[in-house]
Amino acid sequence: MIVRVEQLVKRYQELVALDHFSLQVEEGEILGLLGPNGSGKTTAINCMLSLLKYDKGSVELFGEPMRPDAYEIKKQIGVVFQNIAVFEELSVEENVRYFCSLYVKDKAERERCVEWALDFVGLREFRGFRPRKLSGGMLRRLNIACGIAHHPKLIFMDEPTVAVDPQSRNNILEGIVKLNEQGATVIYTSHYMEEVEQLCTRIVILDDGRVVACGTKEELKEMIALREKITIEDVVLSEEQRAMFEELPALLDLQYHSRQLRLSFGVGSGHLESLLGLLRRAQISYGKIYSEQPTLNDVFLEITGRELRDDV
Amino acid sequence: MRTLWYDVQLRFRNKVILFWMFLFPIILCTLFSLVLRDVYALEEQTVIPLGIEMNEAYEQDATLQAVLQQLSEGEDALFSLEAAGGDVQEQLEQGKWIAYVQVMEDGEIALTMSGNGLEQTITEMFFDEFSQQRQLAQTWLEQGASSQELQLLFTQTRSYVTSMSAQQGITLEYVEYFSALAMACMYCGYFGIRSQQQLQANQSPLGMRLQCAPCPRHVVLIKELLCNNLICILLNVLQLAFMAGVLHISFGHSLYWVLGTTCLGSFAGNGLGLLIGSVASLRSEQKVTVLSCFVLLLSFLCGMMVPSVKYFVHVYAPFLEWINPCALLTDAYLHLSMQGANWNVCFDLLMLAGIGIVFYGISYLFMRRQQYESL
Repeated sequence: MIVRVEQLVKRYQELVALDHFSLQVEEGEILGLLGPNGSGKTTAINCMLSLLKYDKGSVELFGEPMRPDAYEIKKQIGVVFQNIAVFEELSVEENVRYFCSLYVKDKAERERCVEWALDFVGLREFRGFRPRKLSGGMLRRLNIACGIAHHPKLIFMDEPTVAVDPQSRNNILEGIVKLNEQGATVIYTSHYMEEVEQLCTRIVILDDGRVVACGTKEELKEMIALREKITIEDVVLSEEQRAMFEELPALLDLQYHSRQLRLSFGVGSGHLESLLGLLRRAQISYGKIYSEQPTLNDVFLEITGRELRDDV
Repeated sequence: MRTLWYDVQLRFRNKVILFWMFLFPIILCTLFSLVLRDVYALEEQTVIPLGIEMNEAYEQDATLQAVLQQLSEGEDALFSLEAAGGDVQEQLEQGKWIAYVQVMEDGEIALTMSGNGLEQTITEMFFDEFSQQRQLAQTWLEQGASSQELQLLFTQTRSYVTSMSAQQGITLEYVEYFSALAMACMYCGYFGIRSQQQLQANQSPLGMRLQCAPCPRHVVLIKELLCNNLICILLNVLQLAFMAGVLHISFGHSLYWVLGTTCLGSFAGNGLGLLIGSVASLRSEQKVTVLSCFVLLLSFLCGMMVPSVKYFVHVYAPFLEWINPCALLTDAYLHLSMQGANWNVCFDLLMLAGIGIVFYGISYLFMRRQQYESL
């Protein structure tokens, strides 16, 4: 086990940021820490890295207790923080070399690491550029390069794709998968469920400093009653017709608003066929109909009663 | 230490900081040089009031009477004369006379001074010279010499008056230059603030990343302070060279003492920046503003822009001089320029070193208290 966190508690005066938070990460995993803003993801990362003092609990990395002066452990860790942490006065190459030299003593090996990192993030052509000349996506890639140039075995990534365009985001996510294939264990925090679903082998959902759910995405979806969501668009229903839909088997929830009907079904099969049959019998016309599997947002909603994202 | 070269480059590539630390004081001193040269030397010669004992010996000393009379008339009068009466001591203490002049029976002239100062020195010097030049003065008077001609006779007194006036002017002018140089030393605090940002994980994203690195803290701290101080000293020495070579400001003959003063100034300036960075819970831009304003205030209180402020502080609030690092630096440079290395310089440098140590000590204590990883 590469990371073991036991009963971590962190308080900021009256506010409990982490409430008996526990975590275990196996080597080779990409673990997702998912939660809304203010759920304690960044606090957890900072405590695990010994950047922040905590009130109770323990943190072990690579089987050893993590401390601020555990330099042998720190040599094997890479960090990519949410905010860009590079020197404005140094070029892309100089930045990567600067941070790599904090970990790698040998000059020849360091140069190999720098070249590899620049290739990995696709910034070889921009090596002489200063950060202010780079776009937002390129800055994020530079930020990643500075964190992984020394080939760490354990990488902490705290919301590395915030405010990044979709293409750059895809590049970053592909890069993380490649790092994992090359042997790195990744702890990835985000409040974007799509990223976490796409990327992570195991997911931990946080809320108010507590772990509310933990498992693979399939295991998490099995935890809730919801199994299928069907949406019918551009449909007009009378009260009587609406009552007919409420008779459907395994129906958990029905919402009709602005000519859109949303139906949530629990365990069972053939929900779509039953629905289509009902629409035909009642001679109800509609624009579009589609079925979806539950998302992590649905998992979070069912467990906590709230959405994952504030803007949803 | 593998990053030391990059750390040096980082500091030299920050154009904004370099401007305020290096170019701004040079521009300021150049402006002083263009505007202020010889301004303070144009002081009016003061007329020295004397109380004369009108005794029989004085009545019989016609030469003394005539010389004093000539030197108390006209636009270039050196003395104003008054017959002594009443309580002599009281009138000396009240400053009505600078000196009480008594001619003794044997012809010797006895002086009672009201204290110590420039005017008292001039008076003493004059009467010494008069005793030596009495015969020549008598001859010139018989030939009808005017007041201006008589003053030529007393060359020592005249040159002393002129040089003291000039020296006072130079002193006032140099206060401006040296306080600007002191300001430049204290502006090394910009680097101190920057270092503090990188030593604490919650101060900046860079601080966070650097605190995750496997580098012993004391090594990082030493490296930062070494880098800051070396670069600040280099920049300040270049400023010294410019002032001495281009503006022809005299720093005296004690080169090593001047360099040592500059080194201590940079040391204290870095400490001030570190202190502001550690103690103030502000954003980095706000900390820089606090440093800039505070250093300008310190420089003003030691005579930059208005040299007479320095003397007001010296008279009415001398403790401010002892705790103001800019004032200590300015004083040290002034003493080195005028008199060379002496006890005053040692005192100033000891106080400056002590203040620097206090800055670093308080910063260290504050950084140790933080929840976030630092020292």
